[in-house]
Amino acid sequence: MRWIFPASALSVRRYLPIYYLGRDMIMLTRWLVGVLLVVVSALPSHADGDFLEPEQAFRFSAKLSSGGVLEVRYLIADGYYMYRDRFLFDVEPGTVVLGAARFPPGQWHEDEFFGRSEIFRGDVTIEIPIVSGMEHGQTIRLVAISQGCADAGICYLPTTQTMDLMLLGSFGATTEER
Amino acid sequence: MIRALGISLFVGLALLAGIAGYRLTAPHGFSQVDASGVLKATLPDLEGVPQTISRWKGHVLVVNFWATWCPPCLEEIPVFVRLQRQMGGQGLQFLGIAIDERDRVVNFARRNGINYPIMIGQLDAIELSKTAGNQRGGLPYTLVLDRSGRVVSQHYGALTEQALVAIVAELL
Repeated sequence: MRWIFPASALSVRRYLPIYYLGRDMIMLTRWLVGVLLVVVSALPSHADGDFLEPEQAFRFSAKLSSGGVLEVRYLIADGYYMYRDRFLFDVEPGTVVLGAARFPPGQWHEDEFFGRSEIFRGDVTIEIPIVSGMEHGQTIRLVAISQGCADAGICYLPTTQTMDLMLLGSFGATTEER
Repeated sequence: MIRALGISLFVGLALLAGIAGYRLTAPHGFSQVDASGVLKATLPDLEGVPQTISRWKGHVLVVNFWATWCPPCLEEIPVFVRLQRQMGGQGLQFLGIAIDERDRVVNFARRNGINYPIMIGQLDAIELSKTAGNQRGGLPYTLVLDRSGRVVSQHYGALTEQALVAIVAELL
């Protein structure tokens, strides 16, 4: 918005302290504005914008290692965690058959509603072997569903992430995220 | 010079106190969230009967997006049940929108004596919560609407009884 003052209104400025005090006043005003900005930004806000986007809280990547094993990695931000029993992995086309996912040991999380649940924090890699149905040079689409929460007291809706993976040569892969 | 400095300092500190006071005490009174999508939404209730949220317009509405798989969501539900019982007569109406499987929600509602309407949705309810300001897809997510249907508060995470009463008391 642009403010347009009538010429007579401009004379108001001579009543402002800043008009009298020149540079000292300008410095003081700048200092006050600076303090205001710092203090106000540090106050708790009810806008609730302090939680990370799910893609930042649970950073997903995947690769196809030699030996035909999918390695799905999540970098979990501090203060966030993922539930082991809420991971779901699938591939397209459906003719490619996956074996059982191998999870690293997690941590036990106590909750008054669900009791003990196994969760992951930090850096977690889950291995899923491709059992059959994949040929060299073929591209598959990994579909990974996961769900996690923040210690601060929210849970994210289940997230579906996909990544296209091509099997090159003798079990080496390039990856392309979609 | 000293007088002018004093005046400026006073004005600055008063401004600071005013802004700080607003930030600390006014979760309500200002929101850019548009509730029209929520009010127009039609979702099935626990019996499978389609319910349009706008039928409760005219009440002070607390619209809570939740799920049974979300521990912080379950934490606040006893508060909602209690306040619905205590303040429902004054025009306070809680509405739950569960992003979940129907059987789980029905069982939870029965076990926990939920005394306000629950609607159930999947992708449609997820999209609905996003149109209502829940861009991060976090639960629980709660909106408080005044009697005209205007959003006066949006909140991620479990609400305490004290915080919720402070918001709705001014609207009843």
